Amino acid sequence: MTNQEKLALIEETLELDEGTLTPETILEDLDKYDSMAKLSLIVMFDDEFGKKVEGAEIKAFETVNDIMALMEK
Amino acid sequence: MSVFKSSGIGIAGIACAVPKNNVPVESFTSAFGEEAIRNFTSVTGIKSTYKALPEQTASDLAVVAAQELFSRINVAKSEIGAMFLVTQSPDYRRPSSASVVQLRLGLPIDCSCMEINLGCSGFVYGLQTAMAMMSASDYKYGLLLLGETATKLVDPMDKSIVMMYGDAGAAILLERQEDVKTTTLLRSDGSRYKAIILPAGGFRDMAPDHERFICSDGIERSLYDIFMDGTSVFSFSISDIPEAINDYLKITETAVSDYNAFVFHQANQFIIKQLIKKMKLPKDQVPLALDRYGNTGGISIPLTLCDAYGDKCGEKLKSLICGFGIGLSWGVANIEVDTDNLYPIIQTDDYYKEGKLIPGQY
Repeated sequence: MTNQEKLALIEETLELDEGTLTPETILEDLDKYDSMAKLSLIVMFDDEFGKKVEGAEIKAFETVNDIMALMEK
Repeated sequence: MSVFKSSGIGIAGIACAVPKNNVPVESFTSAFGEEAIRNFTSVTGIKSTYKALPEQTASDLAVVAAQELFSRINVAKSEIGAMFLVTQSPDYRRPSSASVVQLRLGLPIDCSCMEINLGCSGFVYGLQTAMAMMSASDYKYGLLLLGETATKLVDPMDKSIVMMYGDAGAAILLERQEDVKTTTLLRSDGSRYKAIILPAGGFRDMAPDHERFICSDGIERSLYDIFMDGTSVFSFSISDIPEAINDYLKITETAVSDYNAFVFHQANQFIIKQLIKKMKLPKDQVPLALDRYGNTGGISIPLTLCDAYGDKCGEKLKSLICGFGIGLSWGVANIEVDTDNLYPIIQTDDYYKEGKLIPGQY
């Protein structure tokens, strides 16, 4: 999966417009990054990568890049 | 693996009770604002819950459910050999509420009575325990009771939980039935004991300060308020639970098509939708009761059975049930029950007035 594809998938998961995110985007700066968004990320990792992401890992995310780093099958 | 089998023991009837006091989520609008309420309902699916009176306890709700059961089924109490009460909201620090319930239901001295301290997995664990006791004896009936009043443990300003919990009680009568076979899978992970916790008032920290502090989810609480790490519990619910159900299907050599009802602990709608999607379950066979009752802990499975099928006649349910939550603790089992033996949920304000002890009275 290319970085562009990863960004697109995160945007889709967080219900953001295409091109909103860069790897450097700070998650806390996004209005949409609420508890529901975190649950949606858990589902995305489960559906797309078959990966179980723990609450602590989600809490440790600071930038979009942190999410992308986990997006490997 | 923690797999248990029993045969020849079935469900004679299930009755449930909730408090009369209905609390719609809109009643929290002034505290949290309209948008927060809308978001809460769209994620959890919860629109209202029932909250016990300050005097009303979990054992009161269990007793009312049991009395309803006895009014429907003619049972000689001398033939009930064991009673279990599953609750995490006991009347006293000690003795267990099972003793009080035994007195109130008029169960004989020749009936073993005990409490099981479990929450959302409590119905599956309790059922297996009650069946195992019956298998080891020859008495005619076993009684499984559940009661919970988790609403009493929540900080009123905790918007993550205060609208979620509902209070309820359930009573399940077990009897000897030929040809009934039950397989139960039970799991527990103590490494996640802090995921849902209320630290104060136990014997590790009996009377700490009421000082308030910010928890890891950004919400202020004291040690006396229940805490749930929502993100971790969600992750658990959509990974460990489907895994356990898949393991269960493998062990029992059954498939989704072998069941006609999938009754899950009513944690929240988002979790149940994920389970439906992930397990490819027929949506119309996965009943929901949480929209009107909230998360009622271990009672949610019997409550959902009674709510969804209590008015149906003559249908045979072959249900797969799954309870999961605090502990963390979870279990999967099959139950076969005739819808004629699932009774409509009743509402009650009853409580045991003599149960409140006054100084000098004892």
